Amino acid sequence: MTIEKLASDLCCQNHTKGSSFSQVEIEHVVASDLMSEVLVAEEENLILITALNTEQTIRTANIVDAVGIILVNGKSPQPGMLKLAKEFDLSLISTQKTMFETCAAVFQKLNT
Amino acid sequence: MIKKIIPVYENNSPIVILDLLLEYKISDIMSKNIVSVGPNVIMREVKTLMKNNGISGLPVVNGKRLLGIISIEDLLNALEDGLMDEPVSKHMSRNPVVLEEQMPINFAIDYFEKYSYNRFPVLNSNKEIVGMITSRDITLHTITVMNKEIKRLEDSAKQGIRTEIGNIIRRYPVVQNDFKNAGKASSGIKKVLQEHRVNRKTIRAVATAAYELEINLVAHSLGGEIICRITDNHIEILARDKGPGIKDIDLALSEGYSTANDWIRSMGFGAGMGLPNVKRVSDIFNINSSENGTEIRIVINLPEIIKTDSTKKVQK
Repeated sequence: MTIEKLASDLCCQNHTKGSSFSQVEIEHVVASDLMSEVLVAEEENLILITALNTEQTIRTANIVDAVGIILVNGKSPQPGMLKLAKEFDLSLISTQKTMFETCAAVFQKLNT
Repeated sequence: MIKKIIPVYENNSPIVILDLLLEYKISDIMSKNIVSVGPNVIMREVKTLMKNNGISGLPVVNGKRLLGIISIEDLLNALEDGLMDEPVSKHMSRNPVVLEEQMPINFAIDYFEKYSYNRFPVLNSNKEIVGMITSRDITLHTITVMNKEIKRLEDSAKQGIRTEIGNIIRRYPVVQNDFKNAGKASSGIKKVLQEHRVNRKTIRAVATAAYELEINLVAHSLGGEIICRITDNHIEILARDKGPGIKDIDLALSEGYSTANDWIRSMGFGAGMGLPNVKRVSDIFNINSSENGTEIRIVINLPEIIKTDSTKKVQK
């Protein structure tokens, strides 16, 4: 499942499209609002699900080589986030769904 | 000797190809969900089955016993002669060429070269049908195995081909509570390592450590600096600040302990994982703290540059 497919299935809004948007298969998911918990991740090709809309979200995603970020709870990315996401070649999408609903939906998509 | 059309399984084939052909069995790659028909099914139904399943041939069976194969060619003949309501047993090819599930894959490749059939039934040792194999199954399996092997080679090559670094020193000032710019030092360090083609795993460890240390300075100190020294053998990061010092270092190093306030938490930090994360990825971890300031020095070793054979010869 690519981020592109996930974004369309979950009716997400696309903000930035990195080169991995329609290319990379998502293999792992990390969901947290605490970035130190995200930094523990060691998997490849992961996406980050979070309600944290600060530039640190993008920096953390970059450090763990995430392919994309789903911003939940209907939050919109700050302008600085968009700029950084483009710089780091990250895909950033957002949804009106809550963290719980998003995780459940993504889990279902990745396991069917 | 007849020249092979498919240029694999030769004496000079790469090891991965030979492994692929000899280690994997037909049962590993065949389709186990078989669409089959009984001998009394009429040709018209065979046509529907082929159409609905997108296949151009299927086995005719009695229970698990294989009676024959019915192909799209047989179907066309029946259609031309207006015999679509006849049973399949009248039109199938009897005594089809079969493969056994325990055979290595190279048998299947040989068969596809030798015969013009598009599929072969696969039997087990009791002569019961257990699967079907098409050239598509072989193609898919081959690509999957080769992809894995090439990824492995690429990953190991990346460690070997990193360029010589020499001695690079970078210094980044860090301002108290400046969350806006927190992370710039680690992004900068990551970029330098990427330029020298250091392997991904090491870059991730270094970036994680640098980032956590940087965030600590922003969130908990009166300000300080991150100094990074990169050599051919290791990466050293020094994070030092002007105070106020860590009261209980052992507590600060235990997972989940945090002195962060709500404001820091609203920035996504304060999970009590910062220093434990740094320690986790470091080969050497030193910490000194007093009310005048804290100094943390970590070292992460770089994998050795693998010398190629040609360099060894030159050295001799």
